[in-house]
Amino acid sequence: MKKNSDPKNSPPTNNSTRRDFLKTSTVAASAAFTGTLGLRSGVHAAGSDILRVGMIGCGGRNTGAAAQALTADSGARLVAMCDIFMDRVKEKRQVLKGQKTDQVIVDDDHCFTGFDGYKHVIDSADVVVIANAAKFHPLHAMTAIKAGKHVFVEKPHGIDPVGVKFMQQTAQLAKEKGLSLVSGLHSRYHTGYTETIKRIHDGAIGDVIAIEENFLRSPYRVTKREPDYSELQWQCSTQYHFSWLSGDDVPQSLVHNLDRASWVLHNKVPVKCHGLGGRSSMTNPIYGDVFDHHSLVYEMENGIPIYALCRTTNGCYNEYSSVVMGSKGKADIIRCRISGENPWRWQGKCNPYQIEHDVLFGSIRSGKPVNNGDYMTRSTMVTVMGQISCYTGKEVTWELINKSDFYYPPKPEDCHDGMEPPVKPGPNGSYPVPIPGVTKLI
Amino acid sequence: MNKQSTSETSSSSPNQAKQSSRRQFLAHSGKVVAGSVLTGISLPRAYAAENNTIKIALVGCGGRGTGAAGQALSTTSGPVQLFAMADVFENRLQSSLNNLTKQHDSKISVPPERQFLGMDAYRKAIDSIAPGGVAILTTPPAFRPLHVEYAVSKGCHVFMEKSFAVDAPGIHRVLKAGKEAAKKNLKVAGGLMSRHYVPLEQAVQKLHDGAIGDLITCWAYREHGPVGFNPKTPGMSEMANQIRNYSCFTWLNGSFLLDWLIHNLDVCCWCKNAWPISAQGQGGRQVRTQPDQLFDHYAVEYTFPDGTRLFAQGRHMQNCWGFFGDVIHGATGTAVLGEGIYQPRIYKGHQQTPENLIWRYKGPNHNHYQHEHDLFFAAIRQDKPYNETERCCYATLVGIMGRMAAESGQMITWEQALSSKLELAPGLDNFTMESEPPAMPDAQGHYPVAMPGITKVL
Repeated sequence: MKKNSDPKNSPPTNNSTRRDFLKTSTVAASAAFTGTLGLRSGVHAAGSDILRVGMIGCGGRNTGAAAQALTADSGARLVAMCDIFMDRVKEKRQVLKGQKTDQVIVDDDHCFTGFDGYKHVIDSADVVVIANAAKFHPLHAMTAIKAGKHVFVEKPHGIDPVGVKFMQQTAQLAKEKGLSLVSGLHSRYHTGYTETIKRIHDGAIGDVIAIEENFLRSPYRVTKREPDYSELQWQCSTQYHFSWLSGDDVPQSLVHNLDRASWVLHNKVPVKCHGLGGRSSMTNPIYGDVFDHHSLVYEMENGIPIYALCRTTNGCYNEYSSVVMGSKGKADIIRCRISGENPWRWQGKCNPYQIEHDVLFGSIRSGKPVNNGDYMTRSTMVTVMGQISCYTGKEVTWELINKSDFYYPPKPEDCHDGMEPPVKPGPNGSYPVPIPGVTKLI
Repeated sequence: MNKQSTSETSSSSPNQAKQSSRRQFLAHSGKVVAGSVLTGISLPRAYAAENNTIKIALVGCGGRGTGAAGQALSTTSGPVQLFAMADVFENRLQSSLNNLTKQHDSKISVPPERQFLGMDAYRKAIDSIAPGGVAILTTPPAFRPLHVEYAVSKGCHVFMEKSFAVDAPGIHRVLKAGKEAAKKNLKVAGGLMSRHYVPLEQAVQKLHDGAIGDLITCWAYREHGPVGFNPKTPGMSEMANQIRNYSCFTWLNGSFLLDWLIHNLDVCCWCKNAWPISAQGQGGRQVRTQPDQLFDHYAVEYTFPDGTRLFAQGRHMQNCWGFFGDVIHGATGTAVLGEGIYQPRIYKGHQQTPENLIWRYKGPNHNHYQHEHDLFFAAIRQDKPYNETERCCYATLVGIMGRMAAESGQMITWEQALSSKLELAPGLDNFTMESEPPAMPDAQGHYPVAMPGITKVL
């Protein structure tokens, strides 16, 4: 368990968070590059030596993903990019050009903007990396798979029941078409986590009695509101702060934690959950309409409870941890450490963000498609049921969430440039927020 | 410090009262008391000759105080008499007196000259029974340290209702008064009645005997409808408004987490036989619009010395999921118990299904509100050591550190909480009904509400 009261002062480690990671990604990526080159030579037998990569979304995460894609495969070329904002496309093209000079060949004609930009990127590419507002992940992934393209898609894999079910169909279609679909739930590609969870499964901590998940940190960055931005553009530019775009913090953050919890419990699903949440400190309208804290309790079919807390508030205690409490000991997954009757610690190094792309491109080259559809949609649905429980104050069952046809309007395919955003500020500048006990979503 | 001492003894004296929560209980306290009078009439011969009447002063004449006084008057270990009453509201005092008179007419001797009103009324009420009387202290918790100190200094035994303080300086005052009481051979009982609930005592004993293996996680819940609020009436002072709504102002009740979850937090610590070493948590006011300071939801993760956890959730909102009780997960099974669970149950495994049930309380119904007074008065009569101060204070500190963690957003250790010098109501000892309370509304009528990351709690 990583307990830092001030994460800014902590040294980067092998278990750093994604945001920590981005700061050091250049170093990490080049290390991985050197390390994996040898394995790659002679493997890419199938088809052309060049794999055209397209970027859907030009934020920090997808820029990292694109760099990792280019690192994973020397024959990969970044050929097309899109974002709601052209300045982000141009800026990130420059950044990537600086990192991967010979592999970035995006001309101006392949820089796209607007809600439809993704279609052009898919047309231009063999592989797409998708990381934008999570509302669009299922639609963009499905469109790419339909067009016969391989997909890396960032978490969460949907923000509502309709979206997650659409991603399930996407995964099914990818299987049928022999295409690779890789998820940004990087824990599954972390060697240390894998080793730790393997030991839990082998009985190192006895029976699992409870799981504790914490993801407590500062808010997502607030982007500057440019004077010429429309309300829609502003909301899109700061999408993490609007639930209709991001799905709020349970899908956004706790999806990693709850994916690990589900993995520990042999990919089982909770039967039900109940949650609390609200906006206590980050109440300024610049933080949109999302909650700044959530607290959830899930119950598994065998009665094992999981509690999961997330918070996005400045000046508070921060923690990123996944702790499994067993009858004979305790496993701290993020620190890859087991204490109790069978103490053990993993002290290796790995870069799961790179490994997920190594696997993706390896699968394409070898013609053996990889498909993460199963856990990526299940873990996302677990977070969606939690988020809805926090918003409504109600208990939400797995059965109910899977039957639900709820989605945050408008549907992703109906979003278009120049539309009115579904939420607007009131007279005092504040956006309406969910009221537990009153808000009805499912 | 984090190992619980088990100093109190308890004997079982089953009572015929219907099991009920404190609030439900008050609603039909008339019936209950009548029942206990009938069944408890056969006095032990040893005390029949006892003519040393114990005088009682009731300080705080609300529902709980009236209930506690009724229970004190229903004890059967010797003659008792309600001798003085104190409150800040005359109507509260009168209605309490009326209700008690209906049930215990022969044991009431509170003429107008021993009906005291005002912030200093506690002194006069206690003075009239001192020394050797019993002070029942049931005002809002903020005043408890002041009142306990005074009662002990005057040589009185104390029954103090929870919570026992709202901040660490208050905890230290009560702890000190408790030590002073022990020196003076005065008895101190605390209103954590769950500790005297025979069905729960049996369940906890089974856990301590290993019925579900090592305890791995304890879960304390209290989730139900909103805490009530009485709007301020014209001409009422702000101090009077806040005291009437003491459950809604942090300086008076120490938050919902402390005021309403203390029993179930305490029961978890009892099961675990330890006090937590740290807490981190969250909370907020997402729905509530009443002009007060209450958070309407809380979640706190406590850590015990052995690294295991106590997870607490509290919420008071309409139309939301709710549960009131504790769930204890051990290595081999589960227990469901605590305030809100009248028949404690123990299961093998973690699914609480009928086929997994390995024990449930099967004895007669038990009235722990009465039992706690029976034990207390018997200890006074028999002059046996009886001092619950320390564990009551530590249970209160569990709630206080949870409130600190949730309101500040910080990780709070037991030592930090206990050594805090922050008083929620500086100068409280000299407050009058016209004093300006520590929390005042702004121009829009909004009271200060804690903001994690900003609010300072230590």
